[in-house]
This record gives sequence, structure tokens and C-alpha cells, in this order.
Amino acid sequence: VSLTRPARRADVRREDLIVAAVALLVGLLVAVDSVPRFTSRGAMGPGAFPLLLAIVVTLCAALLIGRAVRDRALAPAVEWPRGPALRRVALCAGALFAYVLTLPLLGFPLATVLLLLLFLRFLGTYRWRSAVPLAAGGVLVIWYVFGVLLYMPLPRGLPGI
Amino acid sequence: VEIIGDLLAGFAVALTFEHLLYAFIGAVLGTAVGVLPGIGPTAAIAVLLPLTLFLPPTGAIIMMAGIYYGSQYGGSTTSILLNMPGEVSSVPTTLDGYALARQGRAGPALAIAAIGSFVAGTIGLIGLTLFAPPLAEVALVFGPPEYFALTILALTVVLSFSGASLLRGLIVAAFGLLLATIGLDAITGESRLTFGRTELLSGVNFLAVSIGLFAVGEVLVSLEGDLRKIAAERIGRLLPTLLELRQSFAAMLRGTGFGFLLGLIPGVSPGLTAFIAYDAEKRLARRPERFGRGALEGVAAPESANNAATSSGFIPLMAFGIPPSPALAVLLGALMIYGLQPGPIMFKERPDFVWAVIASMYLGNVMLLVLNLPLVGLWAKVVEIPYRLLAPFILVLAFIGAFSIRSNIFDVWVMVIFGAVGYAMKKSGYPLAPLILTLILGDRLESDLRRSLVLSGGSPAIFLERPISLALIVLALLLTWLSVRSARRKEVVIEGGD
Repeated sequence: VSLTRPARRADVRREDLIVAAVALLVGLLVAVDSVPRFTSRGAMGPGAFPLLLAIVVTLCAALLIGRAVRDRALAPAVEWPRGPALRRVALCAGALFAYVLTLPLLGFPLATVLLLLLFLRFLGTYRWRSAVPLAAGGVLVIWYVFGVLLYMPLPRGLPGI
Repeated sequence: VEIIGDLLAGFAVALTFEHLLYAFIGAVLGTAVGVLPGIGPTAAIAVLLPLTLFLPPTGAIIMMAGIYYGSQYGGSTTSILLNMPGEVSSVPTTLDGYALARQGRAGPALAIAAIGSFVAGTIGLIGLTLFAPPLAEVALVFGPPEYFALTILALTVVLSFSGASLLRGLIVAAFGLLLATIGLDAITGESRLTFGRTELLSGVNFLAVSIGLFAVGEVLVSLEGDLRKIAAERIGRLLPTLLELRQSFAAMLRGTGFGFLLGLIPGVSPGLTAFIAYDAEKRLARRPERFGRGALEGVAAPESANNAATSSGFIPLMAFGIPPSPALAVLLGALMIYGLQPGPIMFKERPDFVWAVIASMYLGNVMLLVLNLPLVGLWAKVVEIPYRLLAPFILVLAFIGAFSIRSNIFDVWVMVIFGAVGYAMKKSGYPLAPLILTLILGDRLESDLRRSLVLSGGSPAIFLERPISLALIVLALLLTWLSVRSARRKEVVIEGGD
């Protein structure tokens, strides 16, 4: 290896190190769960295959971290959204989370109307006078198709709406 | 000759009113999914699958398959009229398709895309009809060691072709296999990796994961972009002239050839296939400078390739139970839910089902040609549904799909979590295909491994002692070596460029 060789271009990013950290954690958890069940009546037990995978995952993580250490630098990070784009993605993720959380309580029709309203008004920038009928009409159609025509047991919620 | 008889019997089933209706619904939904950006065939099939479980399997699978190949037709419409591909597989079509539209030749471009799709889809189906049954015969001699080696080979291929770095793909694949082991062990009945949670005993549902990754994740990615409305180019004269047809016919056939072969390879998505076919067509052209400025061949080749690939992808699925693409992985999951294990046994025991599905695909392609040629103006209207209106409804449908798997809110949480995971993976270049393929193939891979080792009394040498499994493993190793080497070489090139 010649000493004048130019520095390698780093190819491990900050995101890869996060993945590696998660992988190490998962590897450890799986190992804890699987080691006691490695064999079963002399054959491969239910723990053997997961343990094998835990080793693979750990090795991959070690390789990623090893490369980062070798390069002594990280590749440019992924371009995550900023400004209004970040606001839209965060609003959507938050709305979905709140939707699923409150749905068993509020019931499908009410929770869905709220989700659609939030989405259409604040993400879709519809005015209230178009957002309200769109959301209400949408829920009615969906409820009729899936709840009534297809007999789907959609959650009705505590008030029994 | 036997095959022709089987196929005719299949047509007899597929031509009943009920099955024609399912094929038609599939074709319409597929075209819509193809036309609409922000929702792809994998997401559509995963969302709709739990809603169709009350249907008989033949009808349901005919419809799901229709969505899959139908989506390849619709994708070109938006590429040509809006410069906005409805699907990844129509990205190359934008290059010449939109250029043609700007010159007022959108009509012929759309027609060539539809005709090319039809020609390629149908030739691909003839290939499926001819090759799937003999390949399934080959699989008759497969025991657990051979299936294990075949699945390993398939996963190796997926990792080599997924485009991302091998290491990232491998981590994703290992995570997928681990997800598949969660729940009760099929052989001993012990619970694994459940950490005391009863919800996890029945495992992480692959449909909930698919809906999360492909529907919710895609909505999140799309929301980053601009949600404003875009104006479509005018369609104008629709029918191509004879000269235009002759000009693009050879490109269609070449695209079909590339697409058919590439479609057999797991991990080579119809999207990648279309890119390769476009590139090849450009290299072969006498005047390559025409490409990108409105060459009809540049529309014909990729649109034919992606349709041939969707048809030929059914060959490994039906003969060996190996799905080459995420959408077909979800379809394989559907077959499993109905208790149908693709492979030689399915051809032997349920020929009525197999051949009805294949026959329905021939019919579906005819329906799609009619749906997409004269009615293309209608689909151009569908494109005008703004995404800001569509997105929340996609999320609500995703919720209904995940919830209806088992009427269980836990599956919905799995969907939400994997929506976030899918978004993060897409953003940071981790491939989704290995995750969904390993999740669906994981159970079988493990049980094949364990059954092989029981057969051999615990010695892993069994995989090298049986000739077929040895050949498959050698092939897998060779491929890994090749892709590691080419990755190294790429690194060297990058270094040299500095």
C-alpha cells in the first residue's frame, strides 16, 4: 500500500451509524431471547435461526462502524426535509399517530372526519367551506362501502357513534 | 399440447361473468393506480388484499394480478402527458414521451405505449404458459435442501441487484428474516422474540408491514414535494400512423425480450428493467441523438419491457414460489392466506386455479388495451385529482386495510411504525424489496433449513452433497463474489475520479 494513496472517499453516513446502533441493540435482544433455545431434542431449536441472524446483523453493524472508523470521516448525511416540507411530513405523521391513538375511543366516523379535516385544511390548504363537505362526504362513502356493504367491523368508539 | 388443453380449460373458468368482472375491476384499479403518482401496485394490492378475503381465491387472485399488470399500463399516461411518472417503471418513458407531447404528438406516444404494453404483456404470457409448467416439474424433485438453497440464491440475487450497497441490503434482509421469526415457532410451538407480549404471538403481520412500507411511507415521501396542480399536455390525434408503428415495432420486440428475461430475476424491478431497455435501445439506435427529443422507440422499449417483466415475473412465482418483486411477494402472501403454496403441487392439485389466473391475464391485457387506448382521455382526467385531496384518503384506506386483516388495532400500529420505517429507508437509500421478500420467505427458509438438518442428522454438508442444492449454492456464492468485486471496482473508480 503506497503512502501517497489519496484518502478514500467516506461512504458511511450518519444514518448508517444509527442503523448500526439499532442493529447492535437488536442483535443483543435477539441473542438474549434465543441462546436458551438453541437446541431442541438434539436438533436445531427455535432459537438457532434467530441467533444466526443476530450474528449476521451484529457483523454488518460492526462492518459499518469499522468502515467509518477507518475513513475517519462520514459521507454527507441524507437530505432530510426542512421548512414547509418538514412541517408537512411531521404534520402527516403526527396526525396519523393521533388518529390511530384516538380511534378506539372516538370511533371510526368521528376520528376519520377529524383526520380528513386536518389534512384537507392544513396540508391541502382547502378552505373550510370545501374541506368540511369533502371530509363529511368522504367518511359517509367509506363507511357505507366498507362498514355496510362489506360488513367490516370498523370501530364505533365509546359513544357508540 | 397438454398445456393448450389446460389453458383452454383455464379460459373456460376465466370467461365466466364473475371472473371477467374481477379481471375488469383489477384492470381498472390497476390503471388508476398506475396513473396516480404516490400510490403503487404493491401498496394497492396490500391494502386491498385484506378486503377481498371474503371472495373465493380464484376471483381475488385474478383481481390482484390485474392490479399488478394493469398498473404498468397506467404509468405511461402521466409520464407522457405530465412529465410525471405514475410509477417508477415509467420514469424512462418521460424522457421521450413528454418530448413527444410537447411537439403535439402525445396521442401516438400514448398509443405506442399501450400497444407496446399489450404486445409485450401477451408475449410474456405466452412465455409464462410455456415455461412455468415444465419448471414446476423440475421443482418436483426439490426437497427441503434444494428449496433452502434456491431461496438463498434468490435472496442473494435480490441483494446484488437492489442497487443499494450490499451491506445495507444485507442488514435489511436480516431484519426481515428476524421479523419473520417473531411469534410461535412452527415446529416446536414455542414463542420467540415476543418479550412477553401476547399480541406478538401470532407474529408481525406481513400485510400490515407492506401497507406501512409501501402506502404510508410513500405518502410521507410524496408530502415533501409540491402539492400544486400541474397542467397536462393535450392529447391530439390518437392513432399512430403505419410509419410510426413500423418505426417502433422492433423496439417493442427488443423491449419485450429484455423485459421478459430481466423479469425472471428476483430484485430486478420492472422499473430497473425499463431503464435497461431504454438504455439498450438508445445504444442500438442508428441515430441515438434523437433519444430524449421525442423518439417513439424511447417510449416503445421501456413500456414493453416493464410489461414483459410483470408477465414473466409470474414464472418463478408460480413454479417455485419465489416472488421477483415486492408486489408479487404480497401476491404470494395472498396465495398463502388462501392455503395455496405455489410450485409443482399447485399445478397438480389446483390446475383449475392456476390456469384460470393465467387465462384471465390474457383477457386482462385485452381489456387494458381497450381501457387505455380509446379511454386515455378519461385517465388524463383522473390525473387531475389533486394529491392534496388523494393523500388523506390513501391513509384512511391504508388504515382500513391494516385493521381488517384481523380486526385488530395492533396491526394498525405495526402499519404506522413501518410507515415511518419505510419513509426513513426510502430517504436514506435502504432498499425495501429485501425486507418484504425476506419477511414473506423467512418462515419457509427456516423450516427448510431445519428439516434439511433433521434429514442429515445435523450435518450442514447435506447442502453440498445434493447436486441441485450444490449448484444453487455455488451460483449464490459466485454472484456474491461478483457483486462484491464490482462494488470494489466502483470504489476504485470513484477514488480515481478525485
